[in-house]
Amino acid sequence: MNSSTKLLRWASSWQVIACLMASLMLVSVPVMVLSGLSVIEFLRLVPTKIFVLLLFLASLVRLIRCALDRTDILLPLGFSVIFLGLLLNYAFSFTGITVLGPGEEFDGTGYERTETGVWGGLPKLRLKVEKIEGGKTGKTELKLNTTEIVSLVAGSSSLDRFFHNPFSAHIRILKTGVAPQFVIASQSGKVLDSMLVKVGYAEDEMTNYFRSPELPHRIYFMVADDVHKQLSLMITRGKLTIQDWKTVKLDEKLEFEGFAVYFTEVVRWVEIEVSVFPGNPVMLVGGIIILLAGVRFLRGQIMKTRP
Amino acid sequence: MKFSPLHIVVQTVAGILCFAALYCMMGYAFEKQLFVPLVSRLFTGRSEEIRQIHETIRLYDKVFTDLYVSDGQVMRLDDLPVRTVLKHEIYRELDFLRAKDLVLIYDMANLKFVSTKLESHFTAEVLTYEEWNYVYRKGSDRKQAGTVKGFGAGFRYHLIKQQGRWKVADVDPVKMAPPEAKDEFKY
Repeated sequence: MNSSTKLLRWASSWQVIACLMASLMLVSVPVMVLSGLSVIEFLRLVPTKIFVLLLFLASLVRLIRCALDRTDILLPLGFSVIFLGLLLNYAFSFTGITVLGPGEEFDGTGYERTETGVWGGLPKLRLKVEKIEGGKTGKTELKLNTTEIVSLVAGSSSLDRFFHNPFSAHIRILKTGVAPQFVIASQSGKVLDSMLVKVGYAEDEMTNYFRSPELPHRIYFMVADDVHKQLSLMITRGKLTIQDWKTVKLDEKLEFEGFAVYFTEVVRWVEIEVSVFPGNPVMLVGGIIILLAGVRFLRGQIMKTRP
Repeated sequence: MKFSPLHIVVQTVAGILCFAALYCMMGYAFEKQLFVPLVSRLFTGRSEEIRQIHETIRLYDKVFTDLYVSDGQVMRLDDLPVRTVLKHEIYRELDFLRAKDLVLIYDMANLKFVSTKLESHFTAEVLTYEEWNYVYRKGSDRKQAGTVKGFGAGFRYHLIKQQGRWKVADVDPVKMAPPEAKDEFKY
């Protein structure tokens, strides 16, 4: 046996595969705890991708060896399929985020933010926001591809679509909220600035503020009454509170230090995440194969112990 | 060749540690932004990190006060440990005061750190309770314009670590009662 064959046999041994997986898990804990990364974000790191590729190659060689030796191939097959699924996600995944208002249509292009795999492309999907209900649940009704109606609350996703078609685009409502249209004017009534400011229903009220290049103040706001369109405003300048919290109605002016602020409109919005992970169903198949291998192994052990 | 169980365990543990070291090296090479502060955090203790954060806030408040007293002299601008957007906000206020021929004199009477939360290796959130006195003076002759006023208020500092240095990313007012009741004199 020459040295390269020996190296290949060693690299595809169960001990090396187990060491690779254990080291990945060992590193993932401090990295995620110290940096606040989620599991998905950890999987997207370049070293993790390299490790997944190494694991796939080791499992694949192991599978070929098992097939040549005519031994049980279920376990290496399961691992190979799982790592192949992860590699497919790295190559062809797509995640896009868009913000829409009630009645607004989205043709599947012009996302606000996107993250794609090496060869990932835009999924074919048409969206229409039928209804956004107010409040912290942020229940939203979407019409997909002009026929399918999906009703989701903030933070939930369209899991039933996955079971219907595992390769379909995954829809998730990230958050919902309101966006008041603020106007900043001088004391004489001259409009200095106007802006639409988004605020989520579930966000901490004290951190919602906006500022304009026209003035040195910060205007903090919170939604006092979504139905009757009332906002509470607080104005600060540096460390000083110029105007403490005060509730104002639509078009009601709040005057401060030679300026006035008011809002002319409040619109609801929903932030939708559309994602495609073609490797997920492949990984599911790999998981089932490993489960079958486990069941077969246990059955074999039971049969061995029987007299 | 047969190996003892202890030999296999030692070999496996050594393998795991070697691969973990390989991962960290690749992280250092390909994910510098994440791994460099992460490694420095491992060598800098939590209490040292908190000390640096508190120092940053003290420095921020000191330079902040100096900037207002000096009517925006740019000499100390680089000492201000804040993100550029906050510097712009301060300078917008100084311009606003200058247009009114006013100088705002701040004087910090008390600073109490209520809580310090290290959210990740490069973000932290600090709650403080601060007591300030302030007075406006005329910019031209520095004569007092109005009475000396004081206030006590809570602030939430959002900090980020950039190039090994903590910076104030934002400051929000927070409604809070004074953390300790002051000595009350009863007659």
